[in-house]
Amino acid sequence: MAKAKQQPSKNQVKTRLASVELTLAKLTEDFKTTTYRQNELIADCIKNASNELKAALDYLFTGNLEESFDLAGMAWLYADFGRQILDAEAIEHMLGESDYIELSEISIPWEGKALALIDQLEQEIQLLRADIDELSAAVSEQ
Amino acid sequence: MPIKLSKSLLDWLERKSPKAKMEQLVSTIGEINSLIQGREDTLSALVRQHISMAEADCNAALENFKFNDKSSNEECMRRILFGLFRLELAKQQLTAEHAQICPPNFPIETAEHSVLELSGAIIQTKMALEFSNCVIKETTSLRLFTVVKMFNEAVELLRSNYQDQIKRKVEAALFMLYLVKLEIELDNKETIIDLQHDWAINSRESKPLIDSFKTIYRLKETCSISSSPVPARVTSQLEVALGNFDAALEAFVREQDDIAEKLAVTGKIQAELAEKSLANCSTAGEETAKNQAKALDELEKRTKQFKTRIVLLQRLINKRASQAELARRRLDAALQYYLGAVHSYRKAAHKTDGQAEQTSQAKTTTNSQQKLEQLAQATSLTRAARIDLEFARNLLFVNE
Repeated sequence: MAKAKQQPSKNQVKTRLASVELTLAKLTEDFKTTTYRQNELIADCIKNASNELKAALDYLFTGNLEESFDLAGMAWLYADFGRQILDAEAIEHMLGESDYIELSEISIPWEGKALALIDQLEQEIQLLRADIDELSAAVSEQ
Repeated sequence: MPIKLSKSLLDWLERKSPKAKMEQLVSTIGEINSLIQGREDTLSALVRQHISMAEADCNAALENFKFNDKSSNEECMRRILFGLFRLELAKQQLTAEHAQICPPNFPIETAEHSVLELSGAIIQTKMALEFSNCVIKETTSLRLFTVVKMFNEAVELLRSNYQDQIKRKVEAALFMLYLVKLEIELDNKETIIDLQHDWAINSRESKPLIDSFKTIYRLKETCSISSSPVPARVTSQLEVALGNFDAALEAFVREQDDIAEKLAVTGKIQAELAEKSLANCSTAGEETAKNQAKALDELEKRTKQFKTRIVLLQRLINKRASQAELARRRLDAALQYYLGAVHSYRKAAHKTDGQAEQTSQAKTTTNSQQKLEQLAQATSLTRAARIDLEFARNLLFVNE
């Protein structure tokens, strides 16, 4: 069930929007300048946060403070998640390992992975076929 | 006699007029512009965006200012105030430039706070796994992807403000992260030191699931360290128990607690039965039985792997490849043919193992014929599986 919330003041909305926008701008900038890896999940977080932030400003434009405040909160959650991934991967890179754990399929270029999976599936079928042929030969000999 | 207003009141009214506000907007634009002059960094780019949008608001206000009717006046004032608000935002950002960004303060009981806890847990898991250099199986990766999807869904649910639903989703996602940790530890036979707490998974509703998973996990652990091959029926029971557990977890997310509990308890009982079967098998210990079990266990593993790869592939191509939907259907068909082939092969293999019990020559001949028929069917099913797989490949790559 949806719960009623306290109406935020205009100043609270302004403070939240200002800090979220700044966080997102810094994240976008840092992500653009990252050379060692372009994780698509971070790009996705930035996109989602930007959309929510835009919607928050639109709501503010029509005088809906509560919606604007909540959407700015959503934008912050996306931006913060993106920032955390970026920082975690920076540490992994600095440690010299660069063995990143994928958190989403969107981070993987799909064509190469799909082809590899199809090849593996084909091998599985061939293996089964070999088992069947082996057993057929054994039965025929009896 | 006309009413005479005081000078201060007249000044106040003057300041509130659209003209005065417009002048305030224009002068603030100039003031902020001067603050970022010559700067080329993230903040100045953001402030420039605000200025450009405030200028657009200013132009829109001017357009409305031309008409002297109520709605135009209102729109004019609204655009001016919004432009001023944008500039206030820009000012605040410039003021806070050297201070630490103050994150939104989500009170601990809110759904936003739960979502924040989940994102922290995901990152903690990622970092701990990267640091441990553990090998992660595809099925475990899928669980991890699901957790991230659940994070996105939880944020989306914030739009509708269904706090309880969000908290439940977060709880289920944290629980799934806990499973990821256990599975990886089991697969790698090592403890991930940096992931030693169980997050917030202690509600009354989640208890049956935790009990169920602990039993299933114990069985998995026993199977993984077993010195003799694990019989196919045990791995099969384990699979069914895991299937029920996954269904219980899904029901838990949907807040269908009764169903979740029933499924979890069923999974637990199945795992306990499988544990008993395994204990009985271990004491029997005949060499031929072991070999048979080993071969069928291998096939069981391969079948499971085949299913996982099909699911992975379908998820990978979803919404990416132009013919994804058609390819998905072909992959479904390939899976069905493959499973059919395994079934026929198993039947034939089972009959072969039981051959020692057959005595008469006639019975043996009939049995061999039946086996060959089963195997011929298995062969044609593998061929069909391969054709469908090839069809899917062509849909995905030849027509791109």
